[in-house]
Amino acid sequence: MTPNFDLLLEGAYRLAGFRDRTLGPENPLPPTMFSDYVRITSPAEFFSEGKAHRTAVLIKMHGCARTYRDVKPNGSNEREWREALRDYLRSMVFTYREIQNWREDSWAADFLRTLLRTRTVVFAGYSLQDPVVHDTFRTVYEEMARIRRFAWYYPAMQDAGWTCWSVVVELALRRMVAALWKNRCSPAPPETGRTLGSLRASKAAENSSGQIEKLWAAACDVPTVLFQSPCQTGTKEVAPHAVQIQLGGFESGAATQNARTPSPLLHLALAGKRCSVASHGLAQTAEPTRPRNGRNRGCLRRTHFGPAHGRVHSPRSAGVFALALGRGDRKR
Amino acid sequence: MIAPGGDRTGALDDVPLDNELLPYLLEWVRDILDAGPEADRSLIRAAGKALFLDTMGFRNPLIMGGDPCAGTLEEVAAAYRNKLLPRHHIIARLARGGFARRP
Repeated sequence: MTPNFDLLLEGAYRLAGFRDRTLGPENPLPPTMFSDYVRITSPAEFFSEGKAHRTAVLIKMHGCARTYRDVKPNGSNEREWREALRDYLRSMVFTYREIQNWREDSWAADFLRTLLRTRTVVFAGYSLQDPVVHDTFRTVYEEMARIRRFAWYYPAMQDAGWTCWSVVVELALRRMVAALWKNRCSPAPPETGRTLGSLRASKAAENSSGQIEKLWAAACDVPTVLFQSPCQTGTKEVAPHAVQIQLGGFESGAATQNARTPSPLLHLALAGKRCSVASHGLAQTAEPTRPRNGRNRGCLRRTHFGPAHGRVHSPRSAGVFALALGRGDRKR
Repeated sequence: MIAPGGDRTGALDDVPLDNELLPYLLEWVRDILDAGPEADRSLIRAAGKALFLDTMGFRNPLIMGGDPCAGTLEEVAAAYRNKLLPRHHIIARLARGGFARRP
């Protein structure tokens, strides 16, 4: 799900081996479980295309430049073209008033709320500074916090001038790592620009403290990615907002065999220099939820932050951790 | 007055103004002005928004990404040049593993 109008994700999907189900040519690559993708840019497409079989869904919640581009005058009936353009432009959220109204009457806003309530959310390259989307997240997570009796939304970090949502769901993370492991032989992105391999090599080379190398070493046996590079090194300023994702099987890494060694996860989570909680040295702990009505709900694990214990309680946990940091209102 | 797509716009922008749709939009605006108060307000809003989006380059592949529907992967890569970041490839790879299914 993306708020962007541009076509960058579609390009990456094609280069990863996907076929555009509605427009694209035949796929020259071998078939896989998910060989097609479809772009959803309007309510009509959401209901007509969104449930396609073995199809990855890319939802562009504020509209898409491609769909706008495809609405062209046909020369014969100008009135029809104008009405078609008007109808699609209603789905494009662009002006300030449209953004303000987006949370009230948009199909995408409802879908986003459903995602937030039911799925693990990973923010990638998103600062969360859009006040309307920000408010949507906040509303949903506060609602969940009231019901679930533990905080998905961390007011302590907001008090520190930051807003942080972090959700770690053990089972989902393990499934993600397992799927990556299973599909590691799938076609890799072609050598256009910086590929994962070159990113990995460059990050390892440029970091003199050795921290990054430890991270890579801890996760060397599964496909590993690291978003951006704002791990704190000395006095170097880190990005004010970042999304950092580490994939890896830390249980097999030498770093976590020693219980006194902080998890690489924490290095990533606490890399924000301006995040005051980072200076306190927090530890992540995870514990299974209690069985309810005789049935172990199992898939959710309580995750909270507390003072550093010097170790991670569950060294066999980990896999993926996503942390989204954005400037809090008080800093602005 | 600067003509759409004229020389002086090229001096300001790397990507010249795309005037493919501009005549149609200006014709649309002219019709709205001719209609006066009787004009459909939803069409007025749509015309203004389309005029703005076109000026911003929403129809131009050089501004709004490349062409994901190009015939071959080489053509797709060429269309995007250096615009794709590692995060885009990573998300695509996750989607390839089945993490972009609709719930």
